[in-house]
Amino acid sequence: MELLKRLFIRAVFALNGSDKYSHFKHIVYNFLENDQFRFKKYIDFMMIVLIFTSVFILVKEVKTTIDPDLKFFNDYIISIIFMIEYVLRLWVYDSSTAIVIAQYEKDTTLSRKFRLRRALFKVFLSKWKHIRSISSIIDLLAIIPFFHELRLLRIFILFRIFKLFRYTRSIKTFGSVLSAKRFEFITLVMFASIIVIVSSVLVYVMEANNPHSKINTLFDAFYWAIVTMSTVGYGDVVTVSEEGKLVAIIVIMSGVAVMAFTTSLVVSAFTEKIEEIKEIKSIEDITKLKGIYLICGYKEIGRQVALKLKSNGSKVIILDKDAKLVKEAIKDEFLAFAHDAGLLSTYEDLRINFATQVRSVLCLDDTDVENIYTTLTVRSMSKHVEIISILESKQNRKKLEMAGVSKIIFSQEFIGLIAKEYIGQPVAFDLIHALRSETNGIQISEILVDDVMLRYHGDLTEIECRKYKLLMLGIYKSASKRFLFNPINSTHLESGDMLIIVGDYVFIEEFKKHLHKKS
Amino acid sequence: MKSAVIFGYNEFALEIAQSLKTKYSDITLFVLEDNDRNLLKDKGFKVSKFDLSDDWSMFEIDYDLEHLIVFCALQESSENIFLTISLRATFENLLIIALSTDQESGRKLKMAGANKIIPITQTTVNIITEMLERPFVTEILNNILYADKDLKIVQWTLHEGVEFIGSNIEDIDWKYKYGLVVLAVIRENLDTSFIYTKKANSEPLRQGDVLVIIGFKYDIANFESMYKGVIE
Repeated sequence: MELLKRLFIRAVFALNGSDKYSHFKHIVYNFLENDQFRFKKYIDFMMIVLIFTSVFILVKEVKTTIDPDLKFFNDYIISIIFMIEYVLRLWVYDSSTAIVIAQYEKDTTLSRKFRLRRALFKVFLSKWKHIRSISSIIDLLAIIPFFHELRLLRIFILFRIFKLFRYTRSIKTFGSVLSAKRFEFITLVMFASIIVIVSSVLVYVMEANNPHSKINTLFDAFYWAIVTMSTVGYGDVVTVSEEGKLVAIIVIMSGVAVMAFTTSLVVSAFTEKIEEIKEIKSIEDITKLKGIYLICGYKEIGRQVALKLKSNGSKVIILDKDAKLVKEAIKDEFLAFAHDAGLLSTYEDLRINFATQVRSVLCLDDTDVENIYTTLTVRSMSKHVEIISILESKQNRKKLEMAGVSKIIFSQEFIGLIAKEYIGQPVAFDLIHALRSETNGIQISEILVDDVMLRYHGDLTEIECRKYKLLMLGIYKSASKRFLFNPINSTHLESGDMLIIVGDYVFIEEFKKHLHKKS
Repeated sequence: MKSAVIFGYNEFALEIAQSLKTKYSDITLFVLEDNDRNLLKDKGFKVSKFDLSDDWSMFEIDYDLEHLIVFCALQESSENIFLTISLRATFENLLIIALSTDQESGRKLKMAGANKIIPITQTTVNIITEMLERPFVTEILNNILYADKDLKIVQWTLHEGVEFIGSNIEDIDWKYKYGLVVLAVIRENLDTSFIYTKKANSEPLRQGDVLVIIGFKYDIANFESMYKGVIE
């Protein structure tokens, strides 16, 4: 026995330490349980198709004879697929090897003999937790039609419909909304049950011996009570005695109250959860986005920057502690969250990946304290993401630099420079600022030189700026990181260079198209 | 002597004062509180205390109004507007530049008579978005405008007798003959007109037109020696 135990624990350790085993289990987990895994949706879709196929065959089978192959597919193949799914879910639910190892280490530390039975019992308890969950029970019931010889069990195919809970998010959401009001619903069901039971018995006592009444059994009375209570009132079974009618009045009134209460419960459950549902939806939307600007702080500057970036077609996400400001941001049609940008949990909750999704983080709160706090948080999660922050007080510049801000915007300094520039040459100043603010459709634009462009235009001679009423200010040479002002026509172009062009927005767009065509 | 007066005690006012030091020998900061006056004096600024109800006609005695520039940079928008309108009511031709925190106060400052409004929020927003969306343009423009690099932007008014009068702007060989780029032609009775618009192409240059030119310092210096009247 001891030898068996030793062999077992050795095998468990080997399995637990195996990279291949862990990797395979992780892949299975991703396919079955990880909503963020991009291929999971295909498995979900396949299961939904199988569920509907199964139900379709069940319905078709009622009146017609179905093809034996289809029947075989339904009875065996689909059931086996569901069974495999059930077993795999049970497998990935927890780590049995980890539970056994934990027990072994505990026993060894306390200088006890390894208690294998206890370890296996703990494994069973952990798996039992999964087995007795509602979704797991539904999965199990959906496999039962496999035993098709038992005709009655065929009806369990309908349980496969309930499996849809697993695969469709909206049904899951609906379930979670209703479960939030579990206590109220249970109270309501209890109340309705009492009314139904009491009224059934009362009506049975009063009507069973009446030769004109159709209520002859307790089941008739129960059926009448349910139909009346639900306000459906088929009219096939009715009370005829005075006493019976009195009970009917009470049941009808209770029924109306129960229905109204149920409706209001569902509505209030949704009203209370609607923000949460919207946020969940928004988080799902975020995970699909790439190249986003994360704006931390939606005060005046944050708002203006967000609006301008949006108007340029950029993707923007807003974070602000202030729920009022977040509401405003949502009104401005942004993805916005009332979360503290200075907390690590915010980014975990929103599942933001700085490496693959975020282009820049903009710390635009109106206090340096908040901006430094946010910067430190973001920097602790990503060393490379670009962080741009505004600086309110000159004395905090070094602190922002130390926190890890990539670029600091000190408006006061710019205003000073602008003032100086303005008094020197107001006309030139106004012109440059008109260009920068892109009023009247005139703008100063960057055009990236790519390989397609180079195929048709090797140097500036072939680039006909004048034809498009454009001015070429210069070329930013990416290789040497130098700006060539007013370059001569024979200047050789390289991939990655940036043409700096001034002109009408429409002409610039046309010009870009021209650059990608043969002259 | 060119003088500058800056109203307000805040980081904006201080930065303006610092920037103007190279161009203005006489800079005075006007503050509302005694404490602020003492603090600024300690920092080496020329400081005066004022009250919004002051009679500004006394200003004329202390400053040559023709060579005076006034910056209204008070923290409170309402006070800034009141100050601007008070100054304008007293001096019709005084050059007033005012700082505005938002569009609303910007409009009011304009109505109150400020010659130029510098919108703080909008400027910051523009800087941030440009930095993100057009980093090369931002770097180049900032170098041209603010940094003491080789490239300069200047304006030049076509004065009587200049050979360009009557010529079409596109017919002049700015690139190879002068090494310059003419960014725009501005005519008094027109809005800003750029050379790449059809209108400017079809209209020959006239006396009084202002040309906004970008070029290297030495090219601009050569041009200045040939034609005079360049304002840096």
